[in-house]
Amino acid sequence: MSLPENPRDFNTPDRETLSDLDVGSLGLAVLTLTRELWVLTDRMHVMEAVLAENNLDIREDIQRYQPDEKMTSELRQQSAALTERILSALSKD
Amino acid sequence: MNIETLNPKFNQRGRAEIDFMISMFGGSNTVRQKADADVNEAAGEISALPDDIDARTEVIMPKLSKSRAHRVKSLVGEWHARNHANVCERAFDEIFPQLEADLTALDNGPAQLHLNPDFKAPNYWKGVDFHRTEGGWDGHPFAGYVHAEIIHRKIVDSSFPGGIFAQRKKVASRAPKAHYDTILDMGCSTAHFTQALQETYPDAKITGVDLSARTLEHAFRVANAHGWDWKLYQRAAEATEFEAESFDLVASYILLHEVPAATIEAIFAEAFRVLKPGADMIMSDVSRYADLNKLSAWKADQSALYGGEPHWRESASTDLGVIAKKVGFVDVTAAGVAPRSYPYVVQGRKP
Repeated sequence: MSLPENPRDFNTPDRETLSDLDVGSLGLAVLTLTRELWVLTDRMHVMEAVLAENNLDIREDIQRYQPDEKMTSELRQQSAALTERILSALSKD
Repeated sequence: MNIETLNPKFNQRGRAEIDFMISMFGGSNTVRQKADADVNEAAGEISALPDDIDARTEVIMPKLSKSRAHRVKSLVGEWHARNHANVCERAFDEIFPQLEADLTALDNGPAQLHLNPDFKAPNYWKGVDFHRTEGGWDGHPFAGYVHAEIIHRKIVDSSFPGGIFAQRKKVASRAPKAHYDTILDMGCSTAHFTQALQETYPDAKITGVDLSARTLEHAFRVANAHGWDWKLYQRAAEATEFEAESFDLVASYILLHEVPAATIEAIFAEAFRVLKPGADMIMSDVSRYADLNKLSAWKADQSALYGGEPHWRESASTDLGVIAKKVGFVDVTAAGVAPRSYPYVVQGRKP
């Protein structure tokens, strides 16, 4: 086995990872990540709402929290805006 | 009776995931509009498109190769197709411990459920992941509940113009008589249309048939929750086994695009057989390709291709009015319902 002429070539090896064939899977993964991010964002909103109402152990309260119509509408608008930003980045020429 | 059981309150994760699926429709609106504009541009003059629908694909798709918006729209559609049922099943599984007792209670009531342990599913249905639902209609122990009360009631209804339940009521009310003693709902599934029929004709005795045990189990719960004495059977609509001339109205809603054309004719023939003389038939389904322009039909066909609808093209290409007349119905009418010409409704009378 021969050693590389320049050992620093190992610093940034020219290693192929994803290819064009992976783009579809990458997109699916991005959307899945978007959903997970949204779940966390949603949970923070709920946590704030519940904290304001009850200064005790609120974990179960969060689990069971049912947003009212106004909050549901606001959450969905924010969720749609997040999705739109991601899709805009993906679809921009 | 516990109607609330049919309106589940989810845990935070399940609720947020479902809300995400709902808001995704609005969040993808811009890119969908851009993609649609690109498709329209790629198609060019609609009347010049080939008559053959696959040849249309060969004309349109190469020109769409430069449309990033179309690719992203396809990505969103694919993600939604793969995830919508899983998300709803997870949301259900999270709250099942709280729901179980109430669901079990709904197994008691005036309705009858007749599942067939020796049931042999027809080839056109067996193993098909309709609507891209893994495992098909029986893929989850409570698939009927998941599809009826979560996917359709929470997600589909939120984005369907006018709502899916109002549409079912509208179709149910189109049957010509004000009163029916006995009604057969072919392909009753989870009973959204059966309920519309019962609410439209409150004195009617209703019988339902479907291939899916899981959806029938949920129809059974719905009937018991409302105190309705439906008789539900796991039987094919084309072979109901009921006595001839035993119903005053035979109906179906959005069943026919889930079966091949030969089965559609068999279903119509079976409806004719079990109807009493002078009784009515009303079947509704998706828009006919013949009523759409070449581009709209191609778009619908693409949605079916990627939406788990293997029989859609053949069904939508079938003239339901011709089949109704062929099996013996008279006074046949067949047309889309205004204002969107959807669904397509065919009606007839057994002489």
